[in-house]
Amino acid sequence: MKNVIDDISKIIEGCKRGNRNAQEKLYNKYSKLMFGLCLRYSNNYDEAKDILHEGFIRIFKYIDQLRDINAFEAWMKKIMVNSALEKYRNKMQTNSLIDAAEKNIDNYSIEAELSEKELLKMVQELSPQYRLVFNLYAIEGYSHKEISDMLNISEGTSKSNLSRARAILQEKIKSITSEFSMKNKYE
Amino acid sequence: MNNNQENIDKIFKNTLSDYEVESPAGEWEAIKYDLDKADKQSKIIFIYRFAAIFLLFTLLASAYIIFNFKNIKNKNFSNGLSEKTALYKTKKDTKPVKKHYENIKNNNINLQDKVSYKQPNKNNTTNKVSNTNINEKQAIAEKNTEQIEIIATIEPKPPKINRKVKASQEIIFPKEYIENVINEIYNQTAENSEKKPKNFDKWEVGGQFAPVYSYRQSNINNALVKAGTNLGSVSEISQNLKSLEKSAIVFSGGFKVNFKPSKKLSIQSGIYYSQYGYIQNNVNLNYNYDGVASAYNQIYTSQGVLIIAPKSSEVNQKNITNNREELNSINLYNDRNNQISEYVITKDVTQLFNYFEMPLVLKYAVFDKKIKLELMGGLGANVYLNNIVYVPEKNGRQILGETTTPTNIFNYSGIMGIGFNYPILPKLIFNIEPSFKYFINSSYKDLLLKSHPYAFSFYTGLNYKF
Repeated sequence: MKNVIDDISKIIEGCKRGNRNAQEKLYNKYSKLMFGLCLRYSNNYDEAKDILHEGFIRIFKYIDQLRDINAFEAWMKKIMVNSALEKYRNKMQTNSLIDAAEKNIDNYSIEAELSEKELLKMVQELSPQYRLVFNLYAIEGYSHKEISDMLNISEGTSKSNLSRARAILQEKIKSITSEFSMKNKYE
Repeated sequence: MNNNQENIDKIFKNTLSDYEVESPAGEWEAIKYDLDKADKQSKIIFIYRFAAIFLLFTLLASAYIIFNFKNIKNKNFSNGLSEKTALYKTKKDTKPVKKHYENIKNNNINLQDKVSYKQPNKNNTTNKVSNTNINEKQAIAEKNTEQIEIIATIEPKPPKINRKVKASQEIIFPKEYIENVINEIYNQTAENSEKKPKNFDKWEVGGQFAPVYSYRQSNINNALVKAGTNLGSVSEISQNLKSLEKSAIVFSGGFKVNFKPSKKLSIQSGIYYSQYGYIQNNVNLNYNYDGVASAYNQIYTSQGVLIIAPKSSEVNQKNITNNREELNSINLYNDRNNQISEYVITKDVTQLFNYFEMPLVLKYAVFDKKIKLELMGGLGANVYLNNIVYVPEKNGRQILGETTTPTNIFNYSGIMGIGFNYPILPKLIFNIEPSFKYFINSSYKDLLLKSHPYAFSFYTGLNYKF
């Protein structure tokens, strides 16, 4: 573990000096994780690619401001999220609200039955604002107050958006799992 | 219901929070390209800042020197007579008095010292001045100056001399003082007076601008040719370059400072914005019908690899498509449904390299009359700023791209030339300086062809001397 931290420390120090090799190592080490995050915040591959690009440029630009190496991954994620938010603000589109009724979901574990790709697809299919709020709240762990500041919306809107996003996702999960159950039943 | 919601969150968080996806191929190269570009820009900003500080420093130093120089003069002179308050009037010919006055000032002669210095010499038989009757001296002086009148306005703290105040607030200087002045004039006009060295202005500041004939000298790296390249033999490469490239007319201009430690010798420095460039003949430029580059053209030249990437906004489609003659020279591709989707235009492309130049030039006056002729030689430090590739258009130019070949940031050039100076006003000099500059180092790193830009510049400008 200590070696890993030392290794990352060296890479970060290299990045702070603007060393291209260190930057490339950092990119190779974290690009997959960051791209996964970018995909969650966008509804298509190209947009995620843009976020990744912009995010890494910012990471290299501001890395000398990083104080706590232990929090490096969280710091990177925060920068990526900010890049995604900026992308969202720049490409703000008027999306009609989806009126999806909240429906209960059976309290059973379906994680194993749903692949990462399917879940990602569900998130990507959310409208941009629902997607952002859901990602920020449910996965990144931001509070509604923080989200309202980040997106320049009220806390009430943030809560409402989260609620609708959850409802949509519940619906999607339910339809997939019911398809899955039917399939199993007849097989 | 809350449980359900939390469960949903949990499902997604557990699955997607550390979800990894292979990043897009070639993304690192794209990031690297942008980082390189940002680095280059930050270097340019640094250079601009450095240049601004240098300019500011030079201006402040000049101002300080001017201020100090005047202060010293004033200080020395104010012991006898304030420069600001003294005014000499002669009715016909003021030159001898003025000259005398200037000499007193410029040689930092203290009038009171002068008087006390002259006292011991009064009985010296070799000094005609001291033995001459004051009336005679005055007569001689007046003969030269045609009736002298010295007037001064009142100062808050007047010099330590007796004075009579006129009703008109003018002072008539006391007899002793006028005697001293007359003595000085006499000394100056007398044949036996010692010749004093002529004074001259030591500093000049000014601006210059020049049209520049620019090209490059290419030295082929024989070792690389021998090592096996597909570019052909040395002579073939030279021949190819001759047919593909030609010189360009560019510009240079800046601010200069000239210091003259002696009458004939001077040292010149300053800061200039200098361009070097050349023209690449008959370059094929590919465009889509929408004006977007269909492909990044890469041209291999003596000045590196030029990347041609036209932007849609910079392509004048109407001019291209409406001009019949030009259309005939255009190669059209993909003519589907009678619609031109891609075309190629052959044009001469200019590449410009921009530098900040800080020269240090030694000048020697070989002829110094009304017109001054100087020989000059020195070195210049050239800080690379950027380069652009463009096609001249009717209303300016269409910027196409730049070279991506690594460029030396710091370059050194040899400078030689001649300078002609003509005073259009006593303190204002018009100058013409044809000069030749040659890059001592190659402008590019690690290139098959070592390229040394050179330029014939025809500088003209104005200098203020002090």
